[in-house]
Amino acid sequence: MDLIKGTLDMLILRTLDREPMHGYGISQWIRTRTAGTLEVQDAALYQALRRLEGKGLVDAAWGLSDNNRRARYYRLTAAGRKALARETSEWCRYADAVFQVLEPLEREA
Amino acid sequence: MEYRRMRGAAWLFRSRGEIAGDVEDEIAFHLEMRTAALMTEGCTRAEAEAQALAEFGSVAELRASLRDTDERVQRRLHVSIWWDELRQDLRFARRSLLRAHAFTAVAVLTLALGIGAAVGTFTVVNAVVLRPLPYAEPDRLVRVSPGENFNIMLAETVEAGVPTLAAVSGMSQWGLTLTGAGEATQLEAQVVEPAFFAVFGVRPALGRVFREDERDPARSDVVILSDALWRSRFGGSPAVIGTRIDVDGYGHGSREVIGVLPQDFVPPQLGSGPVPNLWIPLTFTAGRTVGTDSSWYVNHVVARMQPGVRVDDVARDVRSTMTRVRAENSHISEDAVRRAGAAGLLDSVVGDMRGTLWTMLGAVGLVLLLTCANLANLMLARGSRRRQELASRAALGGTRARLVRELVTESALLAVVGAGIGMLLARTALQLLRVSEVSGLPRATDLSIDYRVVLFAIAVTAGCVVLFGVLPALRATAGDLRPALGPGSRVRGPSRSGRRFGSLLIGAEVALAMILVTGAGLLISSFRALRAVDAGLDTHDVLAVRLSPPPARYTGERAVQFYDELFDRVARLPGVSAAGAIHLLPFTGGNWSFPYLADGHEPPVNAPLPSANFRVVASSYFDALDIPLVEGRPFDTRDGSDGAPVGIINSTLAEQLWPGQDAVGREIRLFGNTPFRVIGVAGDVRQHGLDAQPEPELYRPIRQWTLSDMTVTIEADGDLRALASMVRSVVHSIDDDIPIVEARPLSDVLDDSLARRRFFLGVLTIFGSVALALGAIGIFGVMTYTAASRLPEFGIRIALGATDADVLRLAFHAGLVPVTAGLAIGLFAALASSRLLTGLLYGIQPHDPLTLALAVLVLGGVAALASWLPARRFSRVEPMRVLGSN
Repeated sequence: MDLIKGTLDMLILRTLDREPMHGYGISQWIRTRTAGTLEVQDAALYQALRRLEGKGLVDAAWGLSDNNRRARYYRLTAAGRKALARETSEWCRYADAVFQVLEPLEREA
Repeated sequence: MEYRRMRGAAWLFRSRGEIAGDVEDEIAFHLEMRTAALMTEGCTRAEAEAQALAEFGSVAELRASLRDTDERVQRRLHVSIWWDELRQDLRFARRSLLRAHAFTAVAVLTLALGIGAAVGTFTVVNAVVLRPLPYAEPDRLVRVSPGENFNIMLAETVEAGVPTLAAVSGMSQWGLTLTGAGEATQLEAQVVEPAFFAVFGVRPALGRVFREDERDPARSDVVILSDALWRSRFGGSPAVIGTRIDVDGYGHGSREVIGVLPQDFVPPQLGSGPVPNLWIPLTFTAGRTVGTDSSWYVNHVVARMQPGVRVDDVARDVRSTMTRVRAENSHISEDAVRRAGAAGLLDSVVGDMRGTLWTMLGAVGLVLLLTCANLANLMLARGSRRRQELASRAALGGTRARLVRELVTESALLAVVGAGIGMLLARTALQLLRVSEVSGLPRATDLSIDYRVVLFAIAVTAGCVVLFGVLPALRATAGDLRPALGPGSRVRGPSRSGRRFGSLLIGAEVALAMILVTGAGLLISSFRALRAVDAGLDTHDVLAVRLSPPPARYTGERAVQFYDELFDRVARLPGVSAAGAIHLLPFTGGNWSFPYLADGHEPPVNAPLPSANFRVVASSYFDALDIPLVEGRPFDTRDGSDGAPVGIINSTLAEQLWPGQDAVGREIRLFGNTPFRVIGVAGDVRQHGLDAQPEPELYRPIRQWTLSDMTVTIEADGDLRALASMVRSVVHSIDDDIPIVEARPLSDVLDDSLARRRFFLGVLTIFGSVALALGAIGIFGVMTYTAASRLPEFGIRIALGATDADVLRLAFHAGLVPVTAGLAIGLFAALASSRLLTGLLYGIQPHDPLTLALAVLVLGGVAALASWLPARRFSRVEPMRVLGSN
């Protein structure tokens, strides 16, 4: 299933809301949480991370991974946290609206 | 910001290679981790690697894109960190300067004065010397000089002989009388050829310019108005084109207005004189030759060169033309040919003022150096007081570069604020000083601040920052700062090298001040010498009133009658003791010089006749100005138009013509006129100013050489201004249409002739006084600071038996050495540089021993006082108090 445009950013922000994470961790988390339903190209993920960094929603620093390797960790900035809250609520309203439209159809069918 | 700075610390100074490495690491980490994860799920290594890559997408593309992004971010980071630090430094500098408000006030004020003086002086130099002439392609404009006074025919011949010129025009200035449109006024006309307008690239705003056929004297009764005159006298109405106006003079009583020049046209002016406000044709009578033309004379020839031609080419052509003309005309001298040539018009306009102005700029540069020296001293003192603060900052991890940067930011902030205030000061001062009127400098009317002035101000400010900011900052942070943190370090004064630096400053300041004080002294001595010169006449209690009766109505006898009536009435005014008139008042510039042949002299072979200045006088001119008659008698009623032609000559001419013999009774013939008999010899008068030697001169009575334009000179007791208004009403009661061009005391006329000298004297005196004050303040500062730091030493000496006087001598001695050295060096520098002032000196040499001695005395005295005061203060110490405190 392809990702709806603009959703990847939100997913990344949501992932980082838990704790700072390296790119691989974000990729893994999305993969596990969606049980592989969403096909996210890793290259696109890194592009998105840089984009979010440029917007100041995400911040990066080098740190050590669990297996003691040097890894680039990303974390949510205050602005990122605000953006996540805003986008989540917008997404929910959007989804609700879509459901409102879809539900009766299902009943009719 | 703090977080960003921390991140910056990890990120800053990443090279391109490092960025590429980081990108590589991040991608590799991802792929390896994913491969490992897939292998634990049961894939083989090869399968896992292939799937990880497939999930990843294009590695190469991402690598390139990430590198690109990271490098861009890095660049932006650099800028933002730099900006952050600058803002931080500025904030810090502001806080620390506001805390030390006394220091800041003194520093800003000093800088404002120094930079303001420099910018102000440069603004004048820029306006006069640097700014191009306000015409199209001004580099192509030249002034052509045939090497001598020339008539129109000669000007024409030269024009024809120089093919490198695209457009040429003779140019004269002539006073015309305007009547019939408001109060009668004397106007200044520029007499020009039709090509004049092409030379200066000006098109009329209304109407047309002159046609070639309007050079015919019969058709030359046309006039072009300046925008200002058109608006003020003719209501700015386009209907004035085609009408006749009563401008009387230069051959016509009235002229037809054919054009109006645009508002932004600046009339070219060579030499002083009123700004021209109308233009009339320079007439040309066909059939005359250079030898026979006695028509109007031409003052200047201006021209526009063909593109690509150099001034030297034109000059060569002018000289070869003059050589040819001389071969056909014996009256042209060899000297004239040698003097013939061409010069850039800007050079001709600026004339000899260029060198003097650069000298003034050099002088203000010295003032600025003194300012910087004083500030450097202030900064040093402040730096060593702050050593403790700097030490703790260094201990907390501030690098020296960072500390220096902070200190320099502080200096730069001071300099920028000082420069800003200085620019305002300069602008205000230039407006208040009315430089153009006071100095008589050409082109000084528009003293606007253009890009050159701004660039100069920036350069000067930057230079100041280097001199008083960077060097002391390097010194303040030099060496090991840590000891400053130790106990008992609070009263530490300057180190040995710090004291040496202080001595150096004192020496430099004294030397700089010496140059300026000497310069000012030389100009003051010159001015005194000049004022002591005997002008040959008495300017006290004399009113000079320049009248310009319309020449068309006041021809011949009519003018004589007018002046007769005027003298008659003026003599009856209260307090008047004598009244006369002359057509060219002394000290006003302007000259008539005629060739003559005198009794007992043969005309020279193959050389021009000798010339003498020519003046027409009326009534009791000599009496009113107390010019003595050495021999013979003054003009009187016997010397009328029907009487025998007579004249009076001055002592110089009498001595030249008939040395040791009587001049009275001899005959002189003026070029092309009947001879006159000398009836008297008058004392020499310095016609062209106090600094010009008297020239041979001859006077003729107005009854025998009628002229309408005269300056009436009235000797009277009492208020000359009241007299002026009475004379005005007398003139207007005789004829309302006679303009009174000027009415002022003769002493003012003399003063005005010294305006330029007085201006430069004033400028250099101000610079000299400022230098003296700055030097004194600087010495006082350094001495106070060093003496204070030696207090413990003085205490010990006194405790060991030294007297107050011993300590005073010791402290004073520390200042004496650099002051003496500075005086010696300054003396040499002054000797070397005062040659630059030669053009402004009168009656003394640039190395005038008396002036130099006085300068040394004044400066030495001030310097000694400035070192003695602090020395005395600190030599009166109570040993126990000083020693106990430590």
